[in-house]
Parts: sequence; structure tokens; C-alpha cells
Amino acid sequence: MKNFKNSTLVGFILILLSVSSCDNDSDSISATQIDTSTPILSNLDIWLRNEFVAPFNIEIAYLWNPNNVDIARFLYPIQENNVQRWSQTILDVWAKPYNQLGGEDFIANLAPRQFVYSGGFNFNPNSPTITLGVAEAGARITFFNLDFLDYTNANSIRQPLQTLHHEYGHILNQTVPFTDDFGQITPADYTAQWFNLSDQEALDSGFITPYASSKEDEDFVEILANMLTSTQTEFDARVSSASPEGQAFIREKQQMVVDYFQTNFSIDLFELQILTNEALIAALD
Amino acid sequence: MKKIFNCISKLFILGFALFLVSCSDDDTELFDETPAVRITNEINELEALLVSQQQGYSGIYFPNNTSVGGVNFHMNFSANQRVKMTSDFKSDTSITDSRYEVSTGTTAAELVFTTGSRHINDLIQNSDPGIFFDSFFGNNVFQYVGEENGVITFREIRSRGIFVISPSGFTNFDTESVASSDITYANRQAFTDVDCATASVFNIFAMEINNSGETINYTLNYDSDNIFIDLETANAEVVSSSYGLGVAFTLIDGEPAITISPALEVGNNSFKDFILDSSAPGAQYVATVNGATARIFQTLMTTPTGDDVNLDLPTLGPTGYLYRLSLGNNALTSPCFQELVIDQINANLDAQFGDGVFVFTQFQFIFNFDSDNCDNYLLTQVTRVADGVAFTVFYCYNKSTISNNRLFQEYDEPYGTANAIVLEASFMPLIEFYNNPEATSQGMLYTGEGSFSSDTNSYINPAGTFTKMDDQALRVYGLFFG
Repeated sequence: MKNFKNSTLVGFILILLSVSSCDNDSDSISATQIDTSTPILSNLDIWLRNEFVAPFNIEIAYLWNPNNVDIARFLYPIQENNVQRWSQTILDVWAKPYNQLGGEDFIANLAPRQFVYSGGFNFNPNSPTITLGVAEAGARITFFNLDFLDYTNANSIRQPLQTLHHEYGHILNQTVPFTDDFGQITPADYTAQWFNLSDQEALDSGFITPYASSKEDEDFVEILANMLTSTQTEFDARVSSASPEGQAFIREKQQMVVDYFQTNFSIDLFELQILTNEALIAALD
Repeated sequence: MKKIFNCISKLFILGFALFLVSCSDDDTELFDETPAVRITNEINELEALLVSQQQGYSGIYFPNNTSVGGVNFHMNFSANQRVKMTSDFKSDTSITDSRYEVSTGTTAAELVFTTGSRHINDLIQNSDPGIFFDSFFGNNVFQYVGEENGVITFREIRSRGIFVISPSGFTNFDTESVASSDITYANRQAFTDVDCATASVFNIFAMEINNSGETINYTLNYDSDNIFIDLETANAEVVSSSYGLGVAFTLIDGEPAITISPALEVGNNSFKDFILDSSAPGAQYVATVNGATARIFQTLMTTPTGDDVNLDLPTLGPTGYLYRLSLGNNALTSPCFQELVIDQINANLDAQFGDGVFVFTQFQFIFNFDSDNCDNYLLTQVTRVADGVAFTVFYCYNKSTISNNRLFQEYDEPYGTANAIVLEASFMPLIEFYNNPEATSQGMLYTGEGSFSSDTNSYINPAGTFTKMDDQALRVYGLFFG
């Protein structure tokens, strides 16, 4: 029995020795293989660093990186001469108004970390629709068809701004959720088939847009985005075109969105609406 | 117990021997360097190659060999990650200045055009007004395959594209690259230019290959939108076979040429580059390989018998034959029908009502072989652009007849309403197209074409063509409905 124990011990030692002897310790550690060289910066890059990275810690990813988009789709990069104009619009119509009312670090503290720019349209396969923007995990917002913005036409600029306000609303909600009461206003009418609703049907059901009827969090940010990209008069006109029941629902939801901003961020949403709309008009040619 | 002890001892010895063997470092590594080092080297190599040519590179990008042809590019790369480029995809060949980057791809170094240039963007998405989604299958990301004798090869992963560039040979990139693009663009347009005064839809492109005493003849259908050809041939048993090839109109040693992709393999010969034979009549391109020749040329095809008319028209005609612009294009509608009928109607409407007030949208022909009481008629429609309201008017013909595989009918008069009378002059090119009296004309040739197919739509409806035999430049493709 003792021989057996000794033999076992010797065997283990031999195995340990043989395992450790397998180490091929050639010089595998060398200088880092991560590219740490300073990128080539154009005047545009320097401007973006000064206007977005330094004050807000937001990267404007206008240089094409195939990993930022769905490679199966036929997308293409923005033309360089369209970058600064759209970036300035974002600053004026989104960042500055929020900072003016929420405090000078409002956007720096609470914002997506990256805006991705794409020049062409994002056509949805097997559907006569396009995707206007994509938000991912509160960290990145991707804008499409930026090469086709017409700064003489408010509606052309309003569309991507609506995307921005919509997605930013989600980011705010992820930081401070809205109360469950919001979803109880029209709980039975949320539908995955929202795209079958006409604008009028949506309004009559108490939704500011058809997409608002998809989920309660979309409903919340659609009200926000529509308020911040239209004057109160325009917003009221849209609500007034709904059925009486629809109007009541939308007004109740709007009040909850207004209260949310006042309670959680001390921002008067009507005041923000005035600022964003004035900036939108000023951004036009 | 002793047996157990022996057994365990043997197991340990065996295990130890196995470990010793497993430690063998047999020096059979496939690569000398780590993947990271190799890809860094590739990036450095490609970056150096791209900027090594002061006058840039020229090459052809074939985005997808199964559906589209090739586009000539000229690119001049700078060390500051900027690239000047021109191409001959569209008529605007002026140089763009955008950015590029050589970066780490999935398995190799990649050339990425990081900001938009319309020369590349146009291949990715068709931005023409009124188009929802259309692509030439292009991309702005290219995987580096390698370099040989100054020729750099890239491949594009999504659509399996091939992009091969070589030093441009220019002495002044800015002027010579644009001039070259203008020439190759013009050559491409000239290939399908027709003179409607003398054109015939029966004048077709063909390819003839003479290889070791054997001759193979192909019918060549050229799709100018996609710069793509379908070759069709029939063997002795009249079994036809066809396949498609991408085409690029380019310059080889300064001579106008057609390069096809993939190359056409016949016997042991591979035909790829066809040079314009300017001494031959018409557009004739010739490839010569090892004494064998392949020739692209125009020829007059045998006129179809037209016997489809006896089967189709009496049964399908009364349901209505439809040509509607929104259904999309089919190459069987001849360019001269477009120019002399459709475009002329729109020009007439402009002259009558002002530019762009009305546009022609569709016509239908309802065939009747029994009645002269306006049961055989042409329906035409224009749309008022301002509000989208469509106006429909009718024109009466005497009954249709079929004789010797040809269709005959004679125009009578506008049907009733004032609009038909007011618009008659504007619609006269179309009215005349169907006006083929048996006594004074050669009639119309009809061909059945199976189910309907265009560049944007496919339907199960039977489709067919009508050719006016008195003016064989005019042929229309449409579908039967109802």
C-alpha cells in the first residue's frame, strides 16, 4: 500500500514536471499591436472635437466604419461637405436649448456618446419603408439620408430632428423612467401592427402618430419629439384634428410628459419647445 | 492489490510518455508572424502602394458578375487620406475629393472610402428621383487581395465584386482622368445609339466565335441600364442555352474596348478584352486569343413568323393590352418607340398645355375582330401633374383582322367626348402606331413573350410585343389583363 502511495506521488510529480516543461516561452510579449498613432485630423475633425467631444463627450462618427451599420444594407457615407451643417443644426436645435434650460452640463451628463452619419437612405427590405434613424443602448444614434437634407424646407430638417428628439427621449427615460400611469391611458390600443394605422386613425385612438401606438415608451417620446419639432400652435392643430376622445387621451399624455420634464429635470417643456422651434427656423436658409 | 499497483504504475508511465510526445515543437507553423503583425504589414503595404503612384490608378470595378457590368474608375490617393476620383458610371465625370482609409478588415486589410463620393455612392444606391430602391450592387469597402507587377486586386464581400487597379499612366491626373471617363462614357452610350430614321428592332447584337475551325454564334441581348449582356445560343438540336456577363466599356492601350467579366471560356481560350474595329461598319469589337477570334457586331435577325398572333390575339386581345409607364421598363420596348411615340406625346402635351402640365401615363388597346362600331379601340390616359387627376380618352378603329400572321386595323375617329378631340393631335404618334390598314400597310407583327416582366415588376399576366412593320424601329412591350 505504501508503494502504491509513493508510486502515485511520483507519477503526479512527473506529470507536473512534464506539463511545465511544455512551456514554449519564446519572446511573445512585444510592443502593443493596437494602433496608437495620432489620426490625421482635418479642419472639420478639429471643429467637431472642439464643438462636440470637448464640451459634450460626443463623437461624431461621420467617417465610414462598416461595423457601425448593417452591412447587408446598401448604405453609404455622408459627403464631407454635409457634415458640419448638420452638426451645427444638432448643436443649435438640440444641445443648446436643453443646456439653456437644464443647466450648462445637461447634455454633457446625459447624452448618447456617438452620432453616426450616413448619407444615403436606409431602405427596409421587403417593405416600402425607410428607416430614419437608429438608437442603440442609449449610447449611439445613427442618422440616415443626411445627403438629402434640404435646408430651404423645414419639413426636410424636421424629420431627422424628430428622430433625434425621439431617441434622446428614450435616453432620458432610461435614466429616469416615467410612471406606469402613462401606459394606462390607452392600454388596450398599443399594437405591433401600428404601421397599418393611418395618421387619422392614430389620432382618433389617442396617439400623436401611428408609431406612437406601437408601445407606451414610443408613445411617450413621440409626443416629446412632435412637440419639440413643431410650434404649440402646430401641435394643437394636429391634436384638434383627432376625435374628442382621441384629443382627451393625447392631452392627458402630453400633460404627463410635461410633468415628467418639470419634476425630474426642472425643464419647462413648453419653454423648450419654443427654443427648439426658434432654432429650427433659424437653421434654415 | 499488486495487480492494481502495477496497473496504475503503467498508466502513469504511459501518461508521462504521452506528455513528452505532446511537447514536441515541430516547427511547422504556416506563418512566420502573428496575425496582428501580418495584417499590420498588409495595411502598411497597401497604404504605401496606393500613394506610390503620383498620377494615381485606373481600373474597372465589377460589382456583381451575375447581374451588372463594370465601371471605369480613376483614383489618385494622397498620404493625407484623401482621394480624388472620377468614373464613367454617369455623365457627370468631374472629379470628387473625398477621404479614404486602409484599416483592419475581418480577414485582411481593407480599403474603405470613408466619406461620400457620388462616383461610388451612385453604385450603392440609385438616387434618381422617383426611384424607391435600386442598386448597382456597389460598395465602398474593399478587401485587399494582393499586388502583382503594380496591379492591385481588391474584392468586395457583400456582392462578390472585383476591383482591379493599375497605375494610370497619366501625366496629368486631373485632366486626363476626366477625359478618359468622358471617352468611355461616350463609347458606352454610342453602343446603343440608334438613328430612328433607319433603325430596325430586328437589327440585333450578336457574338461570333471562331475557335479552331469551329464557329459558335450567340444572340447578344445588351441591357444598357445594367451594362450587362445575356448571351444565347442554340446547338444543332435547337436546345438553347444562355448566360450573362458583365460588360465594361473601357480603353485598352488607348483603344476603345469592351472588357467582359467573367471571361468567356471557349475550348482552351479565354476571351476577355474586345477591341473596337474602327474599320468595320457599325460597332464591332474583336478579341483575338491564340489565333481564335470572338467578334461582337450588329446583324439583321430573321424576322419572326408572327404566328403567335393567331393564338393570342383572338383570346387575349378582347381583354385588353396594357402599356403603363409605372409598370417599369422592358428592353423589348424599342428606344425609338420611347422617343417617337412616348416622348413625342409628352412634347405635344407640353406644346398644347404648357411644360409639364400633363404627362402621358398609359394606354390600352381593346381588340375586337367583329365590330366596326368602336368596339376595337385605343384608350389613352394623361395625368395632370398638379393634382394627379387622370384623364382618359378613346379612339376608335375599324375591326381588327389577321392575315398572313399580321394584324391590321384602320383608325376611324375620336370617341365622343370633347377631350378625345382636343387631345387627338397630341396622341397622334400612338394612334398612328396602331393605324395599319390592310390595303395600304404591312400590318403589325405580334410576338407572345410569356408572363410579364420589367425592371421593377413581374406578373403572371401574359405579355407580348407589337411591331409596326411599316416602321420597324417601333416596338412596344405590354401585358394582357382582365
